[in-house]
Amino acid sequence: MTSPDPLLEITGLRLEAGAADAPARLVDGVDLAVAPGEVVGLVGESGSGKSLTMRSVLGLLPSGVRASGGRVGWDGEDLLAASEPRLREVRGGEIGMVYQDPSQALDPLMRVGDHIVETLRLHDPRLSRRAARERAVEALAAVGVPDPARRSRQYPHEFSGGMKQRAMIAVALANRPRLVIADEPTTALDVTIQAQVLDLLRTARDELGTAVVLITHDLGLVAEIADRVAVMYAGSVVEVGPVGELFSDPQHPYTRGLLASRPHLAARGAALPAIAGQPPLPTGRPPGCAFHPRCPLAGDLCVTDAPLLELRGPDHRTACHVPAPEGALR
Amino acid sequence: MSRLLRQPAVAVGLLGLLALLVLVSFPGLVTDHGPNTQTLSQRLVPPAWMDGGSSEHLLGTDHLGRDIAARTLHGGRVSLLVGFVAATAASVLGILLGLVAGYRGGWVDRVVTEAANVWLAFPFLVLAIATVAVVGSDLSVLVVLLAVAAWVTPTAITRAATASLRGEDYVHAAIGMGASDTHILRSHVLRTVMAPNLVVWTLTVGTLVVIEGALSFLGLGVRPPTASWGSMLNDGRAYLETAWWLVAFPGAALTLTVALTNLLGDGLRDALDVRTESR
Repeated sequence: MTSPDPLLEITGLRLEAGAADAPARLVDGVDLAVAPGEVVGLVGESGSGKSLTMRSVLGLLPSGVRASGGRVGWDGEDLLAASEPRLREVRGGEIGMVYQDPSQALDPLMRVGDHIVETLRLHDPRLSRRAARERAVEALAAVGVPDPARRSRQYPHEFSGGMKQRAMIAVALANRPRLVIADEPTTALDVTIQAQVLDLLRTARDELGTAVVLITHDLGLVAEIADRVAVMYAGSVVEVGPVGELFSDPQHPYTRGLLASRPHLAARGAALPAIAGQPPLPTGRPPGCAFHPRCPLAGDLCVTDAPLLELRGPDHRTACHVPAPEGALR
Repeated sequence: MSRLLRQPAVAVGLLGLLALLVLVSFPGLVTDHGPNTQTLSQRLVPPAWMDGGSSEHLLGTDHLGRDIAARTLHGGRVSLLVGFVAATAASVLGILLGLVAGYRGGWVDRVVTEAANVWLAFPFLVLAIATVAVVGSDLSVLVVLLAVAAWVTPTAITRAATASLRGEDYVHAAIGMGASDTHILRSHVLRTVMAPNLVVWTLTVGTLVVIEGALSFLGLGVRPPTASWGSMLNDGRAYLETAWWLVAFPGAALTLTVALTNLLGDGLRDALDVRTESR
């Protein structure tokens, strides 16, 4: 949306599970675009469909979940229709993936450096093992692993959590992908390590021009690193816009609720504001706007008609029938 | 490897089996007699240290004047060869089946699991007798029979380990970096299932040596006059009251082999199993 030629362009993506006649709509018409070199934060609570949306890009949907509509545009190609061999080229080659828990995502019986050797050689079978080893050491050095030659021969259990996540990022970046999908990359880490991991992703963007999609429920992370933010609720994008504008002038009541429920140093001791109610289950989404049962501003239209993403400012879109009164809920 | 050898059970089992293999491979170290050379003038000679024994025949001779030491060692060749080859074949077969069943799941998994259940319910000895009756007894028939006899255990443990690995994040991560199914099985799953399979393989060798003994005892194993521990036990059975050495030495060799493989298997399990190691 910022760029005329987005790298990744998801349009109208629908993901379903369960019986064909009464499916659970896990993702219901998601639109999302990522420009080359852009960092997009994808925010939402558990079950909002943010991870599923990004997994569908790589064709890695859990068994039982199927794409029933929409398009995942990757450089002009529809990845939803791509063959398995083509998807294997994309995975790890054109799109890298960083996982939530680095201690689970590295093979405990494989030397850390060999993970990088493996992904290099999967995408370039002619690369010799020796050359791949050298590049693995360079890749570890690039993500700030000290003494990389020695560390590359160690096993994951000899690495600390933060070092493991650095190694994961080195694996994800090994083939110079054009996009990295980071699925809650800092959730399992100490707060002090979080900043270092974010720095690495930022460096990858600045030096390699890698676009990043950061899946998270931590608005602080998003504010720190993202160019744009997309907020998901109950399987749809409800608001998307530049990070500064979305934080300073949130349009959707859900976004406002999220921002209001962050802890503030200034208001110590006071109970945190919360959004009343629970997000709906995918099988029992209310008609109209999925947020209306919890929305303080809901009107008659919200109960009957689902709102569409509409432009509210330059590059700032919101799916809400109620225009935001300036400063109403902040 | 050095960590493994520090386990006394592993060290004793491994060295014992190695010694056994050397003796069996080079029987000339102990005796100059051929296993089938009959000296009818020297029948049922007791072992060298007993009254009437001679230094010529260290462990005595049998009812046809054949040297017991030579026959025990040559018989060990057959027993150990059959045991090792059949156990290896069973492990290879089981690992392949287990990998496919555990990784693919679905109907492949159901077919393999049901086949294993049916197999476990089937009396092996009946199958062995029927097979030998139809195709005759022969070393290669014996190996195939025993390999088939032992396929279930390696299949089951490989299948279970593979199925649980299938859900591991690092397997998903490998898929996410573009690995194919065969690549994942080869480079991630195989190395994990090797450790328990090594233990099972060792224990299987012992089991198969016993089964081979049983089959040869029943006359379903190698054909006479080729020596095997089981057939020696059968031959000597009639002389048990007068010449105990006919059955004692092949029996002891059989027992020792099984004890050593079990010792090695148990030691390996303790050394390789992460769960017992952390305690």
